Amino acid sequence: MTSPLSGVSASGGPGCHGRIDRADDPALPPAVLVAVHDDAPPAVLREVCAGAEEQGIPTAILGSTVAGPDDAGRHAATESRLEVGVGIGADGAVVVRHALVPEAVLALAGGPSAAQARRAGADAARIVAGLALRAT
Amino acid sequence: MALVIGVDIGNSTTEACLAEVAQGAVHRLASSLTPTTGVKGTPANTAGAVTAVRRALDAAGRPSDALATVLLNEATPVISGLAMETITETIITESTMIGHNPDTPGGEGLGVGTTVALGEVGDVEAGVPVVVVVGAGADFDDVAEALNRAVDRGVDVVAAVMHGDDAVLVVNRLRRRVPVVDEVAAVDRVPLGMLAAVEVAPPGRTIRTLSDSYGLASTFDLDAEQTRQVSPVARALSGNRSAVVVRTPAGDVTDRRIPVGTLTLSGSGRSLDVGVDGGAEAIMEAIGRVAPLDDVHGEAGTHVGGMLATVRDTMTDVTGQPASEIRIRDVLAVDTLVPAAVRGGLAGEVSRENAVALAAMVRTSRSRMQAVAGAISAELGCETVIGGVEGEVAVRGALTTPGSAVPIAIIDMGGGSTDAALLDRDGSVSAVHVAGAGELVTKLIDSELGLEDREAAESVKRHPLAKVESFFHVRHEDGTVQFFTTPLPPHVFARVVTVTPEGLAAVPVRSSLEEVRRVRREAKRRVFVVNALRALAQVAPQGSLRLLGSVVLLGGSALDFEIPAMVADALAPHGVVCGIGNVHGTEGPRNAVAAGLVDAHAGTAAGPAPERLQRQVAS
Repeated sequence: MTSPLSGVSASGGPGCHGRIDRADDPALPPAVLVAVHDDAPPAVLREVCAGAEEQGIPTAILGSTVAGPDDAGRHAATESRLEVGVGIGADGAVVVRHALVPEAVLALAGGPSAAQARRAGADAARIVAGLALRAT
Repeated sequence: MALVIGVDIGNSTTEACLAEVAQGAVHRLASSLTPTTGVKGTPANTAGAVTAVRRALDAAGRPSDALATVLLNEATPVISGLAMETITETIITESTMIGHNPDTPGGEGLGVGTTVALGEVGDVEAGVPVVVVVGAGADFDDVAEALNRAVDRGVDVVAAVMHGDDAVLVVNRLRRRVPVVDEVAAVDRVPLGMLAAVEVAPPGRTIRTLSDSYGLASTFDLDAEQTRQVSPVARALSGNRSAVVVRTPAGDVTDRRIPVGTLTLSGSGRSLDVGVDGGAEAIMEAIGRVAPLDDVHGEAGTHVGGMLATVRDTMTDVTGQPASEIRIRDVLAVDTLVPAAVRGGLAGEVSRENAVALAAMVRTSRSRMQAVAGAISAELGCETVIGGVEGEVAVRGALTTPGSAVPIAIIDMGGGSTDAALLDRDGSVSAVHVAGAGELVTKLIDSELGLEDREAAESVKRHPLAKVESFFHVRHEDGTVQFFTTPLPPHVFARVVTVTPEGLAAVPVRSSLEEVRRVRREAKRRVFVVNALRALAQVAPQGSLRLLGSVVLLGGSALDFEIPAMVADALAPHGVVCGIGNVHGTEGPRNAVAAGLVDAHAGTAAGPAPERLQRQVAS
């Protein structure tokens, strides 16, 4: 059995555990889960992961199982052992969610700038770290 | 049976006490509170006074034509002014130093080499130690790739300085990890081709080499004289987690004292000049030497001069007295530290500079209350009588506090001034007003925390703090934890907040809760505790607080959640019983003057009748 850490995704970078199939794999260290639509712009995913990596919080990528970024974010947050998930839609829309909070913590419309996507990733990590969010 | 109402026009609030008076018996019906309109003691007060009267009547369900008499206090205008003067500044010349604390620097350790732009790193010879300077817009993957390529060629890349917030990302992609300092806004002004040192401490540590004079000497091979010159750099960097020092021919960091003008104090038949840059201690000491103060002038063309002139002009407008006749009777100076941008800084560095805050106060003898009384009579269609002097009436009101007895002193802690009065066993009353109160506290909190937001500073002053620790709980400043069943909004997440009756409000600072709390308590101590002691010493027999007996705290600031305890703590060593006034056992520290006016009118107060209040030592 291969470790979920072995295949570091080209888009995720060193702070990312890469694409995982099962979020409940005990071998996977705690991570902010990023649920991505198959057609999502790779640049948005890259910046979201980079934002979390700069804050020192690991990420892992879930193949998206649902269509919208909000549902994807909700799914990722529920699955994440850190209780924080990010959903990225086909148009690049980004939703940051916490498993216990009914409303989205942060939402970006489709086609965000690189800086916006980076900040969303950083804020997802800052929820885990208990640091004040930057986008609010 | 007559329906009367006592109205107390204060600096910031107008209070009223409605009562039925019959054969010396007082039956209080209602009280009310409204913001004072205009400067206290001027005809503009009429609107606020009428509002207070109408509200009290409404609360008691009485028609306004039932009112027989309005009792007004003899309010003399007290105007206070505030000024803040920064007296030191830090200047970095020739971009010698970057001393900010980015949230996330990369790598750790110390790297010493020559500064080279990222674009030029391909031309550097192998074996040369370099510090790479990365401009705006560079992508972290490209930067890491360029640095890795240079290292592969044998270039000794020892550190990097970056514009963007990318340090961790770049370091994670380097094959040889080096210290990287990021978020340097003016990275284009870092001099190239110069020897530079970059230091990043491990998480939770502060830098050790660049914040030490001999560390800098060893790093840059300095002699004794040069080491003396760079010691301000070391001092400026101490406490940081990361830093960059560039060695340039004439680069320097200096602390400069800014000349901010002088105050000319006159009193006791002489006059003294004191430089504001001498600090609060020197100013207060000089004021003590000329006490009692007759007047104060500020040097023309300086902020202090401007502030004192404004106070004088306002009083001229209010009273019609010529400016030459208006005397500034008290000044309170407070030392403070203000965060200020470092001149010549490359990364928005902030240093804590010394500043002096000044509150000045004028008080005239020429009251225009007769005009206010006339206007109120016309408005309400009833008789208006101007009653006793504030200090005396306030003492009468304070004496209705259960457990109080003569001799009794009061401290009325308001917005603009702090007033003290003493009623002695022989029935004599002495009173004094000193400059500095709630407004100065707000100003100190605002500037020390760098808020530049009066509302936020006011909120910090008025309400306890808490830290939002998750979406569902906060930790209050005393350590107690409170859970919420509905999630807290993201804009307060992980922030220091004030706990207000309307909910949690984020305090826009990066400082910790402990730091904000310390600033708040220090500001209150330096204004209210200092002023309470200063004012009481002026009314106390032989200036001795031990002879005061009991002190009742009155005014809006006596409702504060910590000021009364701070003042009581400060008075405890003098054997003084000190507590918050509770006028008539029900009104708390408010309404002392309004209730005192009614009691004096009825002649039933626990205190002495007005004819026994003989002596008024006005400030």
